[in-house]
Amino acid sequence: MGKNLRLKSARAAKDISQKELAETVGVTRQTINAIESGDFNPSIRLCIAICRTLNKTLDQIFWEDDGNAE
Amino acid sequence: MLNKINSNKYFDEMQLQIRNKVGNQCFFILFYLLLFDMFLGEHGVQWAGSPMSKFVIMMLTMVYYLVRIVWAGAYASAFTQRKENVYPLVGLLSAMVITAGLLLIIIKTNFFKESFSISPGGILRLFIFYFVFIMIIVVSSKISKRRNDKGDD
Repeated sequence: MGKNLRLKSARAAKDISQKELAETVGVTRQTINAIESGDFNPSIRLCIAICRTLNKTLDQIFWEDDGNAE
Repeated sequence: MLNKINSNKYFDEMQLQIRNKVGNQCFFILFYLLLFDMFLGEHGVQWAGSPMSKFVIMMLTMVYYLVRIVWAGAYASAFTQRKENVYPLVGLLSAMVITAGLLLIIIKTNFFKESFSISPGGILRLFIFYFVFIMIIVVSSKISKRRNDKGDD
């Protein structure tokens, strides 16, 4: 599983830190870091929570293609 | 509504996944080590006394579990506030005091005197054991929380 650069860029675009995003969706900062690094595969509920917070769709953040996965 | 939906009261889903995974591994390690110890005993190899060998195996497995979950940042909850952290410590300290009190009662009175006796050194060892136990919990929590804060932002 590659790095999730779309999540990182969407978060940066909204000027939200990992800690703020983590607190909003109810996980630890380490979990958000692991998702961005591609070390952890989140549940669909967590994906939806992240997408809602960032005002993005699941496709925009989590659908893997050549442009997303590093 | 979004808050805490992906976690239980103490740990988030990644922490739970790590704890479950390591817990399963430790269960099988414990099972096979005890089986191996039994096998050695059956063939006349005594590397420690009977209760001590089981104790050492259980301690090793527990230490392995602790090290793995602390290393993965899944020992301490990131949700726990400072006030909530106090309660387990207060509970342990209360347990210490109650145990020490009960032991004193047992020693000072003739209660159970026929069955067994406890030396004053035993109480000191119990205190040291409790102290080390509490220190391990506190240090592990600190390390785990520090590991939770690692990473890019």
